[in-house]
Amino acid sequence: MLKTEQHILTQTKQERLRGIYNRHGSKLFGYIYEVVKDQKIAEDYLVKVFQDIALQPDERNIEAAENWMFLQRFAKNRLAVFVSSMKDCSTDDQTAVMRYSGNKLLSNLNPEQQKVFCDVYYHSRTIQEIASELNQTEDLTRRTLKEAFAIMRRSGGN
Amino acid sequence: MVEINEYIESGILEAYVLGSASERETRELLNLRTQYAEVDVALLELELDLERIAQNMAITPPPVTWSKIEDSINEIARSSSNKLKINKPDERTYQPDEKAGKSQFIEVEGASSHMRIHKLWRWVFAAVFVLGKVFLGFAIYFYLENRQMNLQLQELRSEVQQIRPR
Repeated sequence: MLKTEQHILTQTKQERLRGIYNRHGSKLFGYIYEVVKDQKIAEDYLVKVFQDIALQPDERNIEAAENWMFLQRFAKNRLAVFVSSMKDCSTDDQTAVMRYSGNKLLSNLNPEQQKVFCDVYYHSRTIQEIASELNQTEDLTRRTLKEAFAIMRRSGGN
Repeated sequence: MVEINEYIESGILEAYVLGSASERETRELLNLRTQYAEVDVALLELELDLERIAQNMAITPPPVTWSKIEDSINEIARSSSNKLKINKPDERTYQPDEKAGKSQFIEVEGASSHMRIHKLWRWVFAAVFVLGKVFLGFAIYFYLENRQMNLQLQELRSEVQQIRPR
């Protein structure tokens, strides 16, 4: 009986994950690839992200992963160690930003907007960290992020 | 109203959607979301925009990726069910009811018509198949040889009968 319950539970979870994969798999793979720049590593991370979701004891967390914003957070958490080994996005040294040159939308931003967006989107840095690095107020950094986001959404064909 | 618009324009919503808002900001935002429809609408729009931005960078994963995910999930399920067995051995152990008990077993019908076996078995199956072919070859060889010998024996018998003096 226990095995049957376990089996049904696994099947339901698997169907749910399959739904998430069908809906967001290519976006997630694209995002991870942008960070790691290697198809094989990106695939391994994609598998690990889904493992992380499958391991969630609380069903509500799996439900949340159906929303892209939360799913991306799962990916960011999984990529945290990888990202910490990378150079932060800098306004002076554009190599880190250039790393994401595949993302055409980034080229529409000015260097400061690129830095803030790149740090937040790919490096999961907090506004507080970026503001103190740029020696500016958190409000100003948030506004820069808002402008960058607005340009990105306009360039993205909205 | 003006304050809420200022709040929406401050960039906190973008920071939250991108996962860089602090815990305090997140708590405040989620609280305001329940109070002000404008905040809720703005957040939903930003979530959709974030998804659209990601859509622009989407890459189709290799075709085998899902089966890798499926295998890893099955592996997790198997290991967690083993843990359950180890941790709680007595909870579900069947206790035969002496009054009712003719049968010692509970009938359980599996939900799936498939079964999973260890990959090692494919080599066993391959070996059985190859050995089967070898034995079949030997059987055919000895059958033909036996038939040939019988024919020769019959010829010899007839020759002996012909030679034997009448």
